[in-house]
Amino acid sequence: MQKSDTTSIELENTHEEKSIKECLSPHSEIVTKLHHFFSQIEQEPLPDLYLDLLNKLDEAEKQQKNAEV
Amino acid sequence: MSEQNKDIFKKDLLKTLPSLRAFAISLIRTADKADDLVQDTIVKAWSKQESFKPGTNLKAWLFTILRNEFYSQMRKNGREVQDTNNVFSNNMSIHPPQYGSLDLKDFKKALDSLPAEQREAILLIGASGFSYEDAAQICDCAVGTIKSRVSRARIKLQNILDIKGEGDYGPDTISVNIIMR
Repeated sequence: MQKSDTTSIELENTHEEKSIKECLSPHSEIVTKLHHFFSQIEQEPLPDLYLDLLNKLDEAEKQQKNAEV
Repeated sequence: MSEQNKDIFKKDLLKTLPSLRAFAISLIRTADKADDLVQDTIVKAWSKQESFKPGTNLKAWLFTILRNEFYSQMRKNGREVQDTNNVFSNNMSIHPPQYGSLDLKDFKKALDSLPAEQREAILLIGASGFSYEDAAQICDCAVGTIKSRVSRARIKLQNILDIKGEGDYGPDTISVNIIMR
């Protein structure tokens, strides 16, 4: 069983680090877990429905533009 | 908006979608409802794109729309949708190592137990990387309010997950259980 390495997640953004420090230490276990949880979802492949939707919106916009011309 | 700015808007929108979706899934109790929410947000953002000022923070703008959409739908439905059958946990499409998966489910459960306003505050600051100022703007409240919500959320999460205070670099909760056997 592979142990996920949550401690390697580092906050690259210094601004982010500064803002978190006030109430949340950037190296606390909670923040590490939050980042881990969040990045796991972020890394999921985007469901096709999103691209379909964006294409539809794009298409509708083009058609509208053509109708105006 | 110029054609060039429109292209940038679309590209940046696409780039922000994974974070936006992660926020929705963290906020809402079921994954399919979260995808509905993100789609509603995209449609709304698209129709409002003329009101977006190019060069300003698109991510914060999109998160604001998503959050407003979330609360207006919640008001419409009268209450928050509960994950009564653990739809989220069972549907979690990610396949991390087993260890991570258990960990994530526990963490999600802990997050869900927070009041919505504390949940969103700690997510915006601790996970999405927004500044307190941005988070306050997104949640339409004072910076101090965000700070106190984050603090309360942190304390609750630490209690639920049995994590000791800040700066504790000891083993995580699962390792502790194993070590303590």
